[in-house]
Amino acid sequence: MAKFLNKEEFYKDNQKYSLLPFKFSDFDKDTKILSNMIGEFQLLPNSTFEDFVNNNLTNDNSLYSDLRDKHFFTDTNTSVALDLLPIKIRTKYQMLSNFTALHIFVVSLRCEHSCPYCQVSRQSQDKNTFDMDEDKAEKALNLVFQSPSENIKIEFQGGEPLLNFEIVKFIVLKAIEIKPNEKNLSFVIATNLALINNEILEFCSKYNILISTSLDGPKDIHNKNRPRKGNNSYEKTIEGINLSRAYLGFDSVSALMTTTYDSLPRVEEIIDEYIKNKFSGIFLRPLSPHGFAIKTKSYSKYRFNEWLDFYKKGLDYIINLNKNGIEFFEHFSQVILKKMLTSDSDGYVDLMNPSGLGIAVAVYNYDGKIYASDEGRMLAETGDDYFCLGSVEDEYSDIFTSEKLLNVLDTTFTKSAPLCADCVYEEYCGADPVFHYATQKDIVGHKPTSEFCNRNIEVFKYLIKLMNESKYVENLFRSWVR
Amino acid sequence: MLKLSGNFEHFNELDFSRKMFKVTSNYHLPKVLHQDCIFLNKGNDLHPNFDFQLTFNKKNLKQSNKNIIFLETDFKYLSDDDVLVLDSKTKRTRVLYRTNSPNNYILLTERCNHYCLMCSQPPKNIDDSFLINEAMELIDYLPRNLSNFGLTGGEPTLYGDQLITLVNKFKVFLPDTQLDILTNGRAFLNQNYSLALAKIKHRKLRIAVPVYSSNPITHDYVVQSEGAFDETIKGILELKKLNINVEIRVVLHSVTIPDLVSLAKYIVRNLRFVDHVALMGLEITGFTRANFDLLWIDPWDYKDILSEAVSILNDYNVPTSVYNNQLCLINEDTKSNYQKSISDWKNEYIDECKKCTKILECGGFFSSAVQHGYSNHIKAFKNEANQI
Amino acid sequence: MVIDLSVYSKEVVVSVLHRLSYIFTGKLVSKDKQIAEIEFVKIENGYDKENLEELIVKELNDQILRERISQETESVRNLILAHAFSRTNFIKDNG
Repeated sequence: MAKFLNKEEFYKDNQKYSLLPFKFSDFDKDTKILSNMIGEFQLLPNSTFEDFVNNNLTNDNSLYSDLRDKHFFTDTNTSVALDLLPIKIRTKYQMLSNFTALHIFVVSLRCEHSCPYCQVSRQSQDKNTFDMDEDKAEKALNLVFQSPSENIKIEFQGGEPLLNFEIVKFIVLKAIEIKPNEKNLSFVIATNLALINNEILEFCSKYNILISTSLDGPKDIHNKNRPRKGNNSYEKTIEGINLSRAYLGFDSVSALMTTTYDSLPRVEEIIDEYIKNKFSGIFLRPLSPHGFAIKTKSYSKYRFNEWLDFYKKGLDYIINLNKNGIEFFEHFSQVILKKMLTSDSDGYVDLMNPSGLGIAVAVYNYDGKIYASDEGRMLAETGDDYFCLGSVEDEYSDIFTSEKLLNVLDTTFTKSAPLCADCVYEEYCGADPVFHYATQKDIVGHKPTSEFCNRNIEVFKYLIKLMNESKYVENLFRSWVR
Repeated sequence: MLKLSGNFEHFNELDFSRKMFKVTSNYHLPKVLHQDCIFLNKGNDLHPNFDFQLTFNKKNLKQSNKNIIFLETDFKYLSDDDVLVLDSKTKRTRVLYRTNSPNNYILLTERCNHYCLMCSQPPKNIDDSFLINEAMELIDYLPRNLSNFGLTGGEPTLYGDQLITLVNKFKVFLPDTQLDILTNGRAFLNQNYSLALAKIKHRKLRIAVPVYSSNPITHDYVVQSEGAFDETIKGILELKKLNINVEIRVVLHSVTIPDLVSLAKYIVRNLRFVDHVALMGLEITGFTRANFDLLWIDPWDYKDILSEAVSILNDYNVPTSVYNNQLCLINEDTKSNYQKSISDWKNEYIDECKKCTKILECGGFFSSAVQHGYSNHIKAFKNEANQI
Repeated sequence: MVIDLSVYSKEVVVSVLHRLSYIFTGKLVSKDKQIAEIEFVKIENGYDKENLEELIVKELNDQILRERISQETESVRNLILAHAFSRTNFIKDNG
């Protein structure tokens, strides 16, 4: 039997390493954070960082292995990073092109609720003015199926789409009829559920239509946010959720929460409401700065710091719930964690890069106009049609490959945007031209003063901090990206 | 432990130097099918027609116009459709295939370009290329409905194109048989070689490649070959580019355990497209016995590390199995990944196991472990109710 | 605040002014070929000139390091990107 070599003999004499591209920033006063082209990140004490960038880190340091495993350098023992990084980069961009394209049909602007923050709804009986008609719907559908995506999701929005359920039925049946074989098609109705009934649910059940509703928290918050005749929005919603689940199955009903000023101090109660109604998670959403939300001043009251506290407190509470055996996740964090911990990413339009405008989402308004995002059409309701791409009367190529849209996508792409290009968190973030246009009248945005930017960086740092401080949280967060 | 090779005796002069047979006990097998078969006499009487016959009764070794082969009772496990080869010069037989084994493997060579610390089949630098010819021949003897078969070494890719030819024959004759090839994968970094394999289009081929650490130094040290890590990873990448099914195998021992969690993280970030990860307890055989002190770690002492690694792989939906460890030495959260795997001729249990209520779900021990060392924490499961 | 342009290039200084523009508005005034000066036009509440100067030096040094890393890794970055977007066939379901 030949002699075995000792491990020491496999260390090469010349322990020089060559840096691979990465970005860095202060994480806190003692720590730097590094991230690379594929979003792998590493925290390093300042002194270790100094050693690292000056080629003085030695391979007996455990951080040396971490940095090598995450492809921050190649050394004399391994250069396989040069094979792996391109694969991961390509995968990431391939995922971008595989997004489910979301096609939003605003079938009616009318609503029987009169929510103060709502950006678009009308209290009106005037069907002719505020409802989508069959002609526009059919023309819109023809555009939908020209989009290159294999997976197509049609979402009915309003106003309250159930006020014009006839056109919903028309669109569903027509879409199924004209759908090319190779495309996968799914439907979802975004509704407050006040008008849900057996007949509608029979139809939804027959065509596998999902329900997405709104639940803002405990009864008093929900009803204050969502005034309607009878002041019973909450009761109607809960009733509707249960009825819909009975027809469509438990997982076919999801709920979204709108954060308002009243929500901010009460995140735990809001989460409790979701647990009580057996939802598996919650989306602690920032309030969008668009449309009436700005007009009605509810946005100005709503400081991003206060939302951050709300989010952090909520996340802490959710972590504790999990510690106590109640499986529950937070959706905003999940979207970001996916970008931090994998090479996939969700089709969450606000954090897409390049922006998902017109690519991952398109909005067909009741009046036949087409917008690049839901926020874009809300902005239009305030009189600014910047994100209008055209109308259902136009040719597909004129709408979705227009110079205007491509220019927006191109100039806001963070790889070239000032500051973003240097930002250590860039891989987790997105270009949000609509946000920056709405708040700063500039699609790229002035990032040092952008609330979008500040808020996201704080969230990224908080997630990393939690994972770094607790093995439990690291494992929990990892289970959320599954 | 089953005996897979041994001596035989015969009376008449044999008219071959080496010959492969399929075992049959079908008394009424049509004469035209006798040619490649050897008849298994379970009782005392011989079959009147078969040219070649096996017996465990020495009295049958008498003058006859038939070739009567006497085997020790160690081989009584032989059953229909098993395949063995007889060598008339050495008077040795080797059993190449057993119907009753859930995992049939054959060794293609003892030559290897690695020299792993825990190798169960210590490499020898000899010309044993007859083995691959034997494998080619064996395919003709295997049942068409065989569910799985494995090729092992040594390093099978040292045969170069001959291995491709062998795989091609498997594809032609046994297209539905899951074919596993154990290799260090380095040869596949050559795109032409990977491509040649891919071109066969064997739908049920799986290449099982060991990766022992994300630290190239540890991996190279374990396999005792500088530069192995990068070449193995590149080999895996080439195979996956061609959509060939790849399994990563990790043997769990004192040198690999400290890096296991990092390796799991490395796999989910860099090799998430692999089709299966096998985490395998150490078998106390071959070089492991020489390196026992270096390699031995009680599985009880690494069960939390194993849990963490498995949970990482599970979170990223990388199909993962844990093999060879005993069920009482893994944590509850690892159990859904546990496979009762130790091949049937190696399975053994110790006294404590006789009291265990989960013995049927447990793979038990390699007999080498029973002989040379096992955990100090083997503990019988009692009734479920008592456990909580 | 005086800046030696032989140490910190104009690009580096401008990028730091941009990065810190949530704290202050600075104007870069050229004194001669080598020397420039940052004039503080407006400073947000909570900061004074002294701690600003410290912050600027730190950011200048970070930015220099960023440029160094970026230069040092430029060729390998291009190699990786070329590789990433060149080949056509690719692994499905890759993580």
